[in-house]
Amino acid sequence: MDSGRKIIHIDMDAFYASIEQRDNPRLRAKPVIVGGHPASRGVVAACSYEARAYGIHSAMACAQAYRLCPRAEFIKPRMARYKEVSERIMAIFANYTDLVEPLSLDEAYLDITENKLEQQSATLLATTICNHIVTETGLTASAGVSCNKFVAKIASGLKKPNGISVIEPTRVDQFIAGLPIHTFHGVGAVTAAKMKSLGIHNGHDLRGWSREKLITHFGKQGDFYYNIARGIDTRPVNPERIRKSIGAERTLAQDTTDTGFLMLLLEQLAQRVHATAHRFDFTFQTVTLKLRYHDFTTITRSSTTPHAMTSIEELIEVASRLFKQATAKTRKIRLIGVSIGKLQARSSRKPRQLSLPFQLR
Amino acid sequence: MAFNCFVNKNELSNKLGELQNITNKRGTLAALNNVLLEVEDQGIVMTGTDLEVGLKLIVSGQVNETGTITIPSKKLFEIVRESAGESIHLEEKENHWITITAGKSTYNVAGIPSEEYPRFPDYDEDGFISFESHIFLDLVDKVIFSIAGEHENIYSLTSVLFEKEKKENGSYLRMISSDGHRLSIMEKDVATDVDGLNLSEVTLIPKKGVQELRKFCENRDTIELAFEDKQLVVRDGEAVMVIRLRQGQFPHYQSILDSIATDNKLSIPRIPFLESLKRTDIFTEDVFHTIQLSIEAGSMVITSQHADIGSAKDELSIEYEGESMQLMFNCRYFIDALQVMESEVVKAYIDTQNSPCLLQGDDDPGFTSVIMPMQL
Repeated sequence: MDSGRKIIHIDMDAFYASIEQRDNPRLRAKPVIVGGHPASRGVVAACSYEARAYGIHSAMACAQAYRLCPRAEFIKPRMARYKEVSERIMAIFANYTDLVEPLSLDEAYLDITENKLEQQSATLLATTICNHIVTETGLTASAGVSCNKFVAKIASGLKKPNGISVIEPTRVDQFIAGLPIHTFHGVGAVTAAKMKSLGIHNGHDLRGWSREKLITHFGKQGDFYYNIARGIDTRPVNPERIRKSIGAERTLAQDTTDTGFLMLLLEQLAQRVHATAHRFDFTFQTVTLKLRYHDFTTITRSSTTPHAMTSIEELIEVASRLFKQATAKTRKIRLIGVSIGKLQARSSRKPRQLSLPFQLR
Repeated sequence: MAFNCFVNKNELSNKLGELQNITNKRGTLAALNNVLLEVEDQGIVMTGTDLEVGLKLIVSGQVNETGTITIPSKKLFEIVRESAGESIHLEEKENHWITITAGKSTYNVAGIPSEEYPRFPDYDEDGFISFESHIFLDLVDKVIFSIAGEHENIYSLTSVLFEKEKKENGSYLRMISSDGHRLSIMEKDVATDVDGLNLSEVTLIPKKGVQELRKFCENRDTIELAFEDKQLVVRDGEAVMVIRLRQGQFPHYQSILDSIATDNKLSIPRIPFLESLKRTDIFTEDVFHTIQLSIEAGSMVITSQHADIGSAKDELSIEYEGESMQLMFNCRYFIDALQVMESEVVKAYIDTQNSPCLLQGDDDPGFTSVIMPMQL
């Protein structure tokens, strides 16, 4: 079980919002929401802990956030700035190990099994790194320390903000056994509901299931669930992981032909996908729609534009167009998904074709 | 009733050729890959449609019996084109079989009854205005290359905007196209009074319609044209084309033109510039075809780099007295515009590296091209 690896997952606390509060003293100790305008269809990209006290969380519609806290400060994201700070943080990590896998601007896995300080204690090293981040950037981070990515990632969320959680290899089994099933990475709302209906409520319950039975019920994901229930996650920390696409999909509680409902869902999925792309500062050229019908036949439809897209409006427009072209409205749909591809880091200094400053009359 | 008629091979071949772009679209309705043959007393009326553009042509002939059938357009075209002899004999047999005889060759083709064929759109016989077709050829050629592809997100940009204007010195017709990154405008003065052209507030002709309109004009000296509520009808004595117009808004292009400062001017010899761009394009990367223009008083250096192939550099003498500029463009945009121009020298107005570049030429009256630069 104990792979002998030491993995740290570092997650910046309310990253965008904290940068805004640091850069602008006026915003300190106030509910700050980074994202779209309250009147727009945008979603919350990040919010300060003061805002979270009102029940606001990221990916929430800005309009809803505004209803929860009208006096919140709505700030337009300054991606270039966040990117700049992120680069400084990634540079800090490089002092300790070269095995850094950034998950986004504010999150990374570090494999510190062998580290540049030759520090044996992962816990001490995590503390050192977090302190280093505070001193150099004035921002706080939370860290999860364990023997694999899966556990480290869940652990980093346990003592947020500004906290470090350590799950020693000997405690991994016990830790996973007690985890509610919906907190498992890779278990979405629909899978969680299905698991609960099968009597699986936590890691302990999951462990009681054989590999075969899990595969029968959950397809090839079943294999993954079988392994993580036993604390087995051999995925290496990959410093060169390149994302090829970003996607989100939803299995419906009930198969439907209700176009209005599906379009609404499609918009929500597009918003989630867009939020991720935004977090990585990616542009995209391809939009793919995925539909699975009640009989499990699955179709995908893609559209590629010659220019790089960035906006949520464009994403929704292309996705809706694909949806309208793809569906005959007669077959019940079981799953709907949207993904974007041909990703390009906006800041990779590739020339960008400018658009004519048109206004629709 | 089973038809039976003789027609001239070349005439039939040419007219089937005109229909091929319309009938050979891969679509959902199988019937649309067929051509409708209505054999009447004077000859055959052939109709093709893709529901966006419909074309009806008359082929004169000697008719023994009249009748109606539809038949695969591409097959019929191939048979006629490859046939020897001057005359083609078409005869309908039992169960919708058509026997086609040309010289010593005989073909049997399965026809489909005409009931399933879409009805040709109705149009008003009045209100047509006659134009020399070269006017439309010129209008289309100057803007067709910058129409947005079907994937464009401003839907109206997949069409050409068509406008008329009466100025003090006469009547003008105008076509405007844009793919969002560049804009082409072509305006022509016409001897005809355009008052009778019944344009709606925004008249959008889809790209396919523009292509077919061009083809229609290519084969004729004069055409008659009428705009109706949702369609454009073009005809001459023996053919009618109905093009469905699109509904929508077109971006306000005039405000773009108004915003371009014209005090920083370059005069560039057109042909050398075009040739230089084509050479430099060999070393640009796909999709964006980026070139760098390094402009100084009296000279312009064009460079490009391709990560896998190498780089290219070319230099050109130009007339320019302003400050040095470093610009980046998609060179295909320039090539497209320069190719349809005729002036010996083009005038380019560029203000900053982020603002649109305007191209015009003394011998290209009515033509304006606007190209947005690229930016690092």
